[in-house]
Amino acid sequence: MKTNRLGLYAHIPFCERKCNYCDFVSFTGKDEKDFKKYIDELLKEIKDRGSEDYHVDSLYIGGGTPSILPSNLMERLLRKAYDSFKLTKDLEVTIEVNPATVDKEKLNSYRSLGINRISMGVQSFDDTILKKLGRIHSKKDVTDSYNLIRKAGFNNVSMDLMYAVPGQSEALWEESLKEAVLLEPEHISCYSLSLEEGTDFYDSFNKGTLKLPSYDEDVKMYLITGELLSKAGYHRYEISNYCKGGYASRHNLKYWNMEEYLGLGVSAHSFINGVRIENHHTLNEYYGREKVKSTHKNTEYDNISEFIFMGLRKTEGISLKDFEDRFSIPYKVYLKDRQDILKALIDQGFILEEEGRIKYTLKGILGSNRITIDLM
Amino acid sequence: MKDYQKYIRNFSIIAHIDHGKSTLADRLLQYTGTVKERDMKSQFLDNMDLERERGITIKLQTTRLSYKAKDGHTYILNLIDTPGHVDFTYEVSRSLAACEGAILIVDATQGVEAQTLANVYLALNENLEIVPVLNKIDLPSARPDEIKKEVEDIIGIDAHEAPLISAKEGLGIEDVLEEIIKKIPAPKGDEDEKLKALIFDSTYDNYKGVVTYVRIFQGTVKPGDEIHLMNSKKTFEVTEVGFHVPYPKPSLELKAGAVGYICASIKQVKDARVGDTITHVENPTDTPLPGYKKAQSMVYCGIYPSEGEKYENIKDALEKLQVNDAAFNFEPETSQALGFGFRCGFLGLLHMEIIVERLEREYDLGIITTSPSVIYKVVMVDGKEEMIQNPSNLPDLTKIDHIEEPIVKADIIVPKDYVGSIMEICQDRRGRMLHMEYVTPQRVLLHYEMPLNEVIYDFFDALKSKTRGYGSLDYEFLRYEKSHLVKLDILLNKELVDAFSMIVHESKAYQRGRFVAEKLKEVIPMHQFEIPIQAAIGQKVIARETVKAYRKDVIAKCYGGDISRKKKLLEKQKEGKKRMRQFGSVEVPQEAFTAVLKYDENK
Repeated sequence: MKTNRLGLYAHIPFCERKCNYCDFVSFTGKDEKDFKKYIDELLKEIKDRGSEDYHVDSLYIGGGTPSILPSNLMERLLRKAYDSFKLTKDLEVTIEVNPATVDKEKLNSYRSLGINRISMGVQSFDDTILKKLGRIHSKKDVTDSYNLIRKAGFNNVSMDLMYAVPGQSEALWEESLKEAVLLEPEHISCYSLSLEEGTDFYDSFNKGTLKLPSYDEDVKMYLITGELLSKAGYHRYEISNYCKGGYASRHNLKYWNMEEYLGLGVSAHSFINGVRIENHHTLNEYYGREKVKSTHKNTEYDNISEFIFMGLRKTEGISLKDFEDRFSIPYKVYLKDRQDILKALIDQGFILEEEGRIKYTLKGILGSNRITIDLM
Repeated sequence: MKDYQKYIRNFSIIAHIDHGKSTLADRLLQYTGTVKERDMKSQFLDNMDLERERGITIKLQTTRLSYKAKDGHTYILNLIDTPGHVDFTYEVSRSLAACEGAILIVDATQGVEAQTLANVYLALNENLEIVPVLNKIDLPSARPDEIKKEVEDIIGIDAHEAPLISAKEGLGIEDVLEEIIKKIPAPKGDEDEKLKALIFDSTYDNYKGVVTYVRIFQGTVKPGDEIHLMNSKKTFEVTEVGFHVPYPKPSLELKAGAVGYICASIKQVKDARVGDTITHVENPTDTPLPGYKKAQSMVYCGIYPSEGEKYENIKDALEKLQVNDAAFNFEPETSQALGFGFRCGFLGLLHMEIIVERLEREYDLGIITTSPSVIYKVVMVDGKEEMIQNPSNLPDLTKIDHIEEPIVKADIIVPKDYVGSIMEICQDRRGRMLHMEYVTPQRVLLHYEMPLNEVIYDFFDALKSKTRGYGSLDYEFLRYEKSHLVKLDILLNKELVDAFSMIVHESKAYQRGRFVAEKLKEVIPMHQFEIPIQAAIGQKVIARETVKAYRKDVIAKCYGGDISRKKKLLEKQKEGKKRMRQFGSVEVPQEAFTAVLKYDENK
């Protein structure tokens, strides 16, 4: 019997301070007692949802700032996860780390616990920008932490960077990119700043006190990113993600490939057996008897539209054969009279159809929202 | 006078909107037992939901009441209801022509309004006996003595015996009925003379065809008669006659003095137009009743299917509406921007609004309407004249000698405190004040001449807004007048969108152009590129705005929990896009078409 693959995600909702752009669920001002209480609850959830039916091939500890946890708590969490599921031999274990929150001991303990991939929240190599974003670290902290990570023996490191940030010129962005490339991480994610409700940036923008780079500048920065990283040997495998060789994020690919994952912890989401599950967003609710806030059984249309809009995010796009295998209907038959729209999008150079796949062109990526809604 | 005629009274109720006409009509029906209490929907006579909602009567309903008076005799009271809006002046005048008298309802808290006056003058023109009634007497703010005096001063009729009533509370209803019998003369006319019947309304019935509402002035009509409609020059055979009580009740015949209905397998309402005279084919009368006018559309607009709506559905609905409304007309037209649609003609702005709302609500259609336009008389260099009601059809400027526009006579009544601001908005709309008079120490009647294209644009809204609802307006067509008119075009991303084109006075072009450009900037969503919005006269751009490009239209981060949220975002965008119209590369939401017409206090 073939056992299904599964990705595990555990959310650590604590930060030293909240960044001005961030809308992920995360709490500040908590101490070790709070951390312990949370991990206890997380272990309960793992116990309840653990299953031998799946082979876990990816475990991702995200946040928040997971590296804020003391090593003993991280150890309890990982041991419990390892004990509760079948694991594949090549299991990828990623942890998100913020510069200046790790030291040699912590990193060594990560290594011994089987963590084999580090995702660093760098965001920028410019101190002024870092300050504006509300980050607690400096440029120097980034290089220091990076060197510690390498010294501890990690050979799969990713960096998150942000562009189209207030006060950032194209030149300044290019500089950050170059600094990142010099450090030679295996993987780089470059996210254009998006304003999310409930963040400081969102409020300031609506008050008119925050000036963002123009659309043209935003686009330029995106183009610079692709060119510069490509020259340095990285290829874009998703709209905002670049990697060397085979170092794509196994975990994130699950989202874009509509594969199954189990999300643990406050505000975590799961997609399993065709059902989308959302956990409670506040600690109080999460500490209650029922950790799940809502479940939604995907309809066939949900599955199709998600397959398309998530799949098209990948540079390789979607395979028409995969579509037909999954949904028992050829994609173009599904489109019906919208085939004309697809044709027009191809004619106008937004979409490329080749080798049985449909994918965005570079021009297509820049307007991907409006294009996707016509193809969903 | 024949004996049977002694006990007939034919009357209308005239009032300003909201002064309680329909409520009183309901009470009369109830009091006389014509409609049982339990069958009573509020305001029986206004039988369209839309009318009830807006508190105005659009389509006439006529009812025969039976009332046992204090003198011991039982009277037949024919209540002929009239539409209560300026657009339907002609219809009102024909309804009044069918009566001997009219009840004039005046709101005891508000007094005489412009429209009340206009209708009183119509009634006096038909030599009707006016019976004043003061309504809303139960309200604490009622000022009966003052208002009585106002009626006497302004209208010049004796009001000291006017019943004080509250239609809402059912107070004084009997007094009204007694006044009708006492004051309004019984009808005259010889039942043995040659047939003369006035059509004052008609409706369409799927089984009977057109049902004409008639007043018999002389002669008798009965089923089997061959009748001739003297203005439409059509001939039919009568299949049924009867009365509305208020449901239709067939009778053997209709005799001189009666009000009732005639069915004659008439296929279209326009063949039995209001004001026409019915006579017999054999032994006809020589002279038709006076006052017949052809329906004349004063206001035009384009009606187009919105995205996802079918042209055929709109066509079907327009045809159905036309069957019941002889004053409404339409013909197919094509817009570069909106595709296939219809150019529709209306009596006035309200008439247009009513039709548009019925299409949307009764027929559940998705439609786009273009800027309303009046009919311009274009005099060409070679002396030929063209009537233009679609700005896009304006001939090449080099071929035009001059353009003339319709001017109306507008009577406006406002409380004196608002005179200043009303004169301002009138002047801003190129109005010329002829004179003004104090109808009471508190209220002023302003006589204006004004271009109709200014009236239909946003004048009602401005008037209501500036007078906090207390101003009232009545207007009628006067003449065509030479004017400096220009065609104002709107260009989106450098492409002309014909559906936005309008003809405006030269002096207003800049202001209007800027207003439209600003409005469009507000409603057009961001695109992937900057969109210049230009208002232009010919080649000359007079106003310009820019819709800034999207900051981005790509979701940067998408993983984990974000999936459902981001998908919702896309679904929302997809919904929004459905309601968009594509003009070249620019998507315009449908509300853009109404937004550019709306009155804006600050502009």
